[in-house]
Amino acid sequence: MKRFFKQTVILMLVLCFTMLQALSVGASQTTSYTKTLDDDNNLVRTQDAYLPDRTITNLGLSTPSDIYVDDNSLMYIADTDNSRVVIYDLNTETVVQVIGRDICEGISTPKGVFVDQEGNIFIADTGAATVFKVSPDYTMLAKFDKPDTPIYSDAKYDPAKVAVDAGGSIYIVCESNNTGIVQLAGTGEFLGYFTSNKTVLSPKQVFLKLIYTKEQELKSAALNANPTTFSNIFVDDEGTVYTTSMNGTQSLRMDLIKKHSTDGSNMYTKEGRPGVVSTAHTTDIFVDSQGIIYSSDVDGFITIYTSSGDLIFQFGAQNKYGTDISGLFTKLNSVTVDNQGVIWTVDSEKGYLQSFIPTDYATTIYTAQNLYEHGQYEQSLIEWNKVLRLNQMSVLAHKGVGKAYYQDGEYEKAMEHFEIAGDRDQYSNAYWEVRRDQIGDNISKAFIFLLVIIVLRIAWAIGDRKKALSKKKRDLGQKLKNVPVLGELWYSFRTARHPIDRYYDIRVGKNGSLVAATIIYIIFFITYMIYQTSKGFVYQKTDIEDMDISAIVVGFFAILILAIICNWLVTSINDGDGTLKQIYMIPAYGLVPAWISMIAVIAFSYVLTANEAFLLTVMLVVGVGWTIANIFNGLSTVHDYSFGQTVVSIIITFLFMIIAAVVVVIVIIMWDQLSDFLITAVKEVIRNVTA
Amino acid sequence: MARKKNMPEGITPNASHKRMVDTDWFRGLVLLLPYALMFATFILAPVMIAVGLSFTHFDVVNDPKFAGLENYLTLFTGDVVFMKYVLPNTVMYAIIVGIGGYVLSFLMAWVLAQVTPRARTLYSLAMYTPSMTGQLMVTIIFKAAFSGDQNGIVNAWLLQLRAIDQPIQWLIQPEHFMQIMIIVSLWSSMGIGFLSMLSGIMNIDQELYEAAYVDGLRNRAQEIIYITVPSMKPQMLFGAVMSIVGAFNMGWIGISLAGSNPTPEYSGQLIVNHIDDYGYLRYEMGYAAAVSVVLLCLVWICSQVANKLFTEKEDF
Repeated sequence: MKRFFKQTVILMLVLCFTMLQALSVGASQTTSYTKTLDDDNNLVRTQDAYLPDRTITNLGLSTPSDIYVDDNSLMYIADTDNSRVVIYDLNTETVVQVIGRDICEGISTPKGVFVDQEGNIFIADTGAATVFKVSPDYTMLAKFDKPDTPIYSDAKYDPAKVAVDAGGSIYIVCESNNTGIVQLAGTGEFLGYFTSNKTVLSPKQVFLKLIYTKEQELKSAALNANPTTFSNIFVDDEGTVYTTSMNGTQSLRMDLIKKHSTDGSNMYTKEGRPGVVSTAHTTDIFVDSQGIIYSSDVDGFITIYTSSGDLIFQFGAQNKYGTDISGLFTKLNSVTVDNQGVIWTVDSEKGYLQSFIPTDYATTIYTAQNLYEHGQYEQSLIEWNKVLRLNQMSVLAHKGVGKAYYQDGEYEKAMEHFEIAGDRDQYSNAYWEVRRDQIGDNISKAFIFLLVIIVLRIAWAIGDRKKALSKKKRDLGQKLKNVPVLGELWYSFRTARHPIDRYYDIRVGKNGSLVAATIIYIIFFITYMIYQTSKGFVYQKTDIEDMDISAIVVGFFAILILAIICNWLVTSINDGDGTLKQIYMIPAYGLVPAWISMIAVIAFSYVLTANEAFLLTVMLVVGVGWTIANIFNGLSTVHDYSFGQTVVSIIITFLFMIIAAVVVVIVIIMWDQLSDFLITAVKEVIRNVTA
Repeated sequence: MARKKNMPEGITPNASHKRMVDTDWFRGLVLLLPYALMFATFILAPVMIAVGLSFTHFDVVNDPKFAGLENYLTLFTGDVVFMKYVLPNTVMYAIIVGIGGYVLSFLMAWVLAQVTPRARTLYSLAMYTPSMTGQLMVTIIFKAAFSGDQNGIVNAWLLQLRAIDQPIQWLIQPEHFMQIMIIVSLWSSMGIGFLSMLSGIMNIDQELYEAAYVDGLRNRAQEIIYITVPSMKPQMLFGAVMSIVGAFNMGWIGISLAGSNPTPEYSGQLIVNHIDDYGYLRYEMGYAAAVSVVLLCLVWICSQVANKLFTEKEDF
């Protein structure tokens, strides 16, 4: 099914491209690709979500750091190096007002601007170390200087960004105070740090902390870890605080974009969720009235999330070319959205504004998302289906359709879509409901089945008063046990229950055979492959397509054979009694518990939801643990080792395996070189002879 | 087999000619009567009544109304809390605390059997204390240890290590609750089963060990496998049954840790709590009875398994 989708999409893309080439005038005006996450959380291309629209260059901005658009389409621009805030009307394209030194005395480097619901303008000024509050008719109302309470002590105060909630609390990001976000009351009183980023100690640092004295700790450079710094803050209409942080070297990072609950904790990492996927250098965040989250990255990326933190899409890029291209950025520092849904951005190095208008694709997704969040599941289903018609692979749309069906009680359809979207948690929830219905339908049958079994057992007990039937059964079992290979296979089950005694039989040659051991290995391997590739969807964490089957096959047999040979080599010089043949049989006869637990896990993974995951873990731990104990017992019995000797021999075997593997790798590499050498030599000879 | 031994063939033919009081079965009946009466009144009858009630709707005040299988149907299909939290919790808790506590009891008993008698008495008393004092101890020690403010012992320690930057609400957050319950239960699992295993180990004839060493026994591990465990199978079985029953009935730990019946977001809700919830908070006795019948079946199945494990015959 999935492959079919992929093929259709590719086919459509090819068609689109050929069409585009024919119609040279209709070339897309986008300058960067829009990307989204696929079901494996990789960024993939999707339809264009936004098109670059207006570019405003005539404002004379110098390093603008922050912009904000209010409901009347007035844009507030923190024009940092010109020491002013420019207010620009987007509709009439005129500058309405400039807030400079004449209004705010001492304004020097305004880096953040925010407008509260009453229209008051808040300006965070790093150079002046203050936050200005300016009324809607442009007179300065207040100045929030460094709090003088003793709690604030000598922490630095250089406001770079500011946001205000409906209750009047002021949240300030200070550039060089990494304790956290400063929260002031409307009167300017210091309320405390609203939230802080955690310093994550590496294992080495934790260890150092344990062994260092207090003085050493203070002096140590290795322990001097600063938390990730906040880069921006936003408060939406409902008073929810959002923050972005900036740090990291990887291209994709978790947990830099946060939505805070009132106690300051991150809502996106509650209940063990991994947090939001984002770029590494997020600079700004904006949340519109529908809860859609827009964030910008200094490298020119604009990423858009749903209110629950799922990535919808990402577009934009860094301008690495000499010429200016609209839609690409040299340094993207701020993002905001006006009430038409148009994204406004500012390039702080080049000092221009750039807008992006959403395509139908984007607006349909927003509508669908919005309808879903307002509980209008049926309408949202229609909208999501529209999105699917535009992009059949859209993970988000499949999730949306699945959720809508789930809310409507159509759990089987929901399962289908969650499977395509690769959303195992939601799939599991939907399956839970389906399974509940199935149990309801079949519970009476189960009761009858149980009754029949009880009746049959009683009948057996009555009919078998003289134990004649039991004896026949036992005799049949005895006969089967005497069949050569079958009996030896059966023996592996008994080994599981009495490892020491049964391995003793192997040691003295009373039972066990190479053929049976090989059959056990093969059966186990087949089970293992099924276990790796075909569990139920909830538990099959990687798809078969993404798996390296040959690595599993080669790895399994290579490790097995290597372990057997190494153990034989190690034990034969260490007074071990076991022969190679016996060592070959030891793991085979011990594998039964692991094998049974694997079969149970495979079977149960189809009927269990994520809720019951621990059951599978327990099964596997018990089975594998039992097998390891068996093999340990087997080694100690067959080689006639004590406990300590067995441990030592196993450790040496492992070391030897590593050495052997390294040697094999070296030989392979050398072999390459050798064959290269031989080929060149032969060529040389041929050339010399023919010349 | 037992019956044949008690009634040799020679006596049975004459039995019919004797007076009834002289017959074996009558004597047997009389001897059995006190126990049978007690058992019937205090165990059999309540269980039968519970099974009967489980097929009715009963709210304590009105007469029970017959409802057929409805209670069971609701339990498995309509009771989201039961299927989503209670059953998985109970199974997980029973597996970890049942098996873990059992293994721990045995290991502790075995270790204690190795020390000198006077110290042994002291140690075993110390280990047995938690299961005697139970609820009180849990509230005093563990509520203080896992207290949610920064003065709680665990929080203070973690804060000192700078592993966390604000105290964790151990007993309120659902994600930690089950772990804490399990730790507390394991800590207090040295109950009567532990004592019986200790006595079992103490009663093993020391000559057995000496003889085994003469026969080629080499280490302590083999000692346990070949001598200790096989010689104390009855005590092992008793310990197993006790720990199974204990694991299924330790619902009070969650309640006293959380301080309220539905534990935080049902994270520590066991079947017993569920029965309490329906029986004594909602007065739906019929439904509660159905849940307890399910609990009975679970315990019965587990003790069957224990029986199979510890009374097996050698299959040579």
